[in-house]
Amino acid sequence: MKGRFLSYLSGAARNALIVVAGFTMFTIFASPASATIHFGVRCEGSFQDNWAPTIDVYDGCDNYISVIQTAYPVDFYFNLQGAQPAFEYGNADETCNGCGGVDSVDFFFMSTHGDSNIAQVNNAVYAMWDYQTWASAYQMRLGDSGKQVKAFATFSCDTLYNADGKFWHRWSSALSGGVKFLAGAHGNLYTDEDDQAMPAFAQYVVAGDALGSGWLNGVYYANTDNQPTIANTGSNANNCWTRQGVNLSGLMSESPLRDSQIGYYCWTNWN
Amino acid sequence: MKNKNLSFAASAVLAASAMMIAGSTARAEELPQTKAHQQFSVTQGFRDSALPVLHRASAVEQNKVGSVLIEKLGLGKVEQSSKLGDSLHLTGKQWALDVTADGAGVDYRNTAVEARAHALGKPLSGKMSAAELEQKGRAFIAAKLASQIVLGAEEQLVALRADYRTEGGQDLSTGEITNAVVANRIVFGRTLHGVPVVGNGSKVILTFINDGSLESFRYDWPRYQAADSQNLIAAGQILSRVQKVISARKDVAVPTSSVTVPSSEGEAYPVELTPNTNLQALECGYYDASSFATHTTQLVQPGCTYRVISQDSDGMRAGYAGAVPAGVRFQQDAAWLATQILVRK
Repeated sequence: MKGRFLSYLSGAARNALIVVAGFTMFTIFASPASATIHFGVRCEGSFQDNWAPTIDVYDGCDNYISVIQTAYPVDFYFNLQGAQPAFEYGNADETCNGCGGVDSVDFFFMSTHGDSNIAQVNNAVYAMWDYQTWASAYQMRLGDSGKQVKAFATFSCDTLYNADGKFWHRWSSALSGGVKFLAGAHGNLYTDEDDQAMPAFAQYVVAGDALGSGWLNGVYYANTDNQPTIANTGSNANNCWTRQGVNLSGLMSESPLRDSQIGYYCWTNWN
Repeated sequence: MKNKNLSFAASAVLAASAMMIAGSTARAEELPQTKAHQQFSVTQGFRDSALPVLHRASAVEQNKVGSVLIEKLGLGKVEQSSKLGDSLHLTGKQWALDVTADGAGVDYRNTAVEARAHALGKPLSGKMSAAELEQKGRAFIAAKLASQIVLGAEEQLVALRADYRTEGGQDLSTGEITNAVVANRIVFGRTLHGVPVVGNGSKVILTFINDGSLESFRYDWPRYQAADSQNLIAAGQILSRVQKVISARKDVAVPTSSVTVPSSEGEAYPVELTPNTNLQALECGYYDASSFATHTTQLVQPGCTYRVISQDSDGMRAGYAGAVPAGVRFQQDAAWLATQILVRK
């Protein structure tokens, strides 16, 4: 089991895929339960040639990890340099734990810029460090390979926008892989000088609360102008709403739904 | 593709909601007094030329707070008591309650009530009004939280905003999209001698499902002790400080041109800080980040919270929230980043 925490550097040192911040910690986790649930974290606050605005997300990601780490292993903490392949279904990086692949852990957490209609294209996208590069939900099939990621939580604006009736258009490819829980936003999420959202969510996760209400409350309470959203699939409406109340333990035990097994999708917003 | 608002409760409501107009919303609602304060803050700053610095008073014992609330709420037996970080985490049959390290903050949720929320969904137009939420919130505080939400002399509990939890879904075989409002939230704040506490401190947030049951509450409600006064800067200087802090956070040079203070006439927002970066709201008062903050502090100085949006030509947005100190000579605080940014040359 590895517990490797990589932080970020700035400027020229950002040319590598993975930047080691000068320390690597190996942590032994004694809890039997912790051996079965693996977390991965990727965060990016500055972007090549300033192609996207700098955002201060690292404190939040650090604090998220600090809380999760009290109970579960965090396999990696990487930035998003050269990271686009780690989100692409069929790419070897997607299931590669050492590459920070989304399907190499059970629970993937990320913070970066997000959008649902960049340049008038209805696609959920996440900003990579690399110049004008996005990871696209069109290219994802989350939960279908490798470790089969179960939760995909992103502190990013707008990617779960759902007021235009095009949510499924954006997310059908990614959700058809069987991922069971999406957390994000249907509008703005504010980075703060003192981020309270990410560690608050982590605290609800560790406490065994429902993941959905943990995300919605943690993000809302940090800033009442935040617009958090959760989403998931079900075989039908009742099944979808039942699955939306899952906690971490339930997330691990419930069956994934893929492709034609999905008959319904559902979301919940604050604000 | 059909798009309709749908209640999950009674068939009559189902039929009615099926005819709801698409686009009906249950959006967050800042109350008129909140908007007025935001308008005043950006045009005038503060009413006073000086305000005292406050200190959050000494801690209240966590276990005592937990015991009092468990009795008052009639929660019964505590099944598990543990520490989550510095917080006391108590759970029982279908409830959880966390108390912050200083005892001034509590986060309570009732999972049995939460589980009923979905089935009681209503069309979006059926959300509770802000007035109804304020009345329900005040009644709950008076009945259940009176020993915790204590108002001192010249202090007031004020309603700030109403928010709504909405659900939606789509049946992939029929294409039918449904929407419902399932929970209603009221946020209260505090004023001291007419000056609001801004930030997450001194807030009471209560959530009710559609049958009126309380699903959750969270509060941070310290006692404050006044100390020495700080002379306060004017609105233009406050905006300059916001501009400097945002520039530092975006890692760009501070603009050479200062921000123009908007006129009191008409809508003041948005206020351009830099090209493509606008101030959406400013609220001045005593800045308290609350006992839930990652970096806690006892020091509560005059300050202004801000909400800023940066948007590029492709439409990509970035949101920045925080606060700047408003004292001419403010105290540097390791827990408040802006106080460090602003002393840099």
